[in-house]
Amino acid sequence: MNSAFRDVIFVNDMTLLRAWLLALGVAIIGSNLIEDFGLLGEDGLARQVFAPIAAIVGGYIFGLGIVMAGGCGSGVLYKQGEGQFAAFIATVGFVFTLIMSYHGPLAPVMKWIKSYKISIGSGDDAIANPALWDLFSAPNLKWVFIAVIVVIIIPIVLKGGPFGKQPKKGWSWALGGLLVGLVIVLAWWTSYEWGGRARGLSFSGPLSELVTFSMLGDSMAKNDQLFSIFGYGAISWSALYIIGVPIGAFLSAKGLSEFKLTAPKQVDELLRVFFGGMIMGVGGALAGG
Amino acid sequence: MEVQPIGIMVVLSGVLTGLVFGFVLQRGRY
Repeated sequence: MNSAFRDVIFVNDMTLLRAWLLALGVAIIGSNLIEDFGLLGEDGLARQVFAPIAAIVGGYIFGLGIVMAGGCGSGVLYKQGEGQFAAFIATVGFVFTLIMSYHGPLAPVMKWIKSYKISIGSGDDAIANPALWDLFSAPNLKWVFIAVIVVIIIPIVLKGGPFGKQPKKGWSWALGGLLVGLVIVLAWWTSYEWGGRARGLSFSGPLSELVTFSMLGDSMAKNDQLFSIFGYGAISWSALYIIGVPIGAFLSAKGLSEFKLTAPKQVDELLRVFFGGMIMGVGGALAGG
Repeated sequence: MEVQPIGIMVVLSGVLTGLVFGFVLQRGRY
């Protein structure tokens, strides 16, 4: 996603933006469809609390970190699978501040900034995690809102010629975008069906959960169902898929003969990605994933 | 916090989702 906006602004290339929009459209339609069909149980999609200041400030900080670290949360994970040592260093920095923010000295600061949040209604009926349509007090117009978003997306996607010829290596942007969207929908469903809560794909929280489980035997995810492995520890479903991302990227890179262990020659480059990762952790925890 | 004994489906679905996502991201990349 970062690359998508970067390409539009600096290289005037809309390809990745189109792929991202396509994935977004598929994900919005698919996840709300399975919610309406009751496949996600009574609670439906686990939408996040709407804390605008935390989202904007956190998003900005996360963006700064991404540029320094050379990839977002999923980016640094799959780039490890391609053999990029710098991505591993970025992940270490990322996890460091993530855990500081979720469980350590930064936790009170995060809580304070996130305490400004918007909820609709009051009392027992209050919606603490409003969707876009709830903000306009129009829960019945959910599909109208979705339709408007999709109508904006479609012409931009179509202009890129999504049915054009496939590249020699890998997949076209259209197929990639479509599949990312479908995986996101699938993750909403699997996270509910097997993980106990329709949490969907996210990387900041789950990465912290995988690392705290690896080190302390506890994912420390208070909202999620936790599982013990052969009677040991407490791990969340989300922490488990983090394991798969670098492995999947590794298999793909192997399949395309693109896997190569690489490391930056300059030490300051490693320092830069490490600090970039640390900045990402603060931003990611603040923005909510 | 309630800890449940792990079902093989939980591990499989989690790791498989991750595998597919990592695979797709790497393949669709430019």
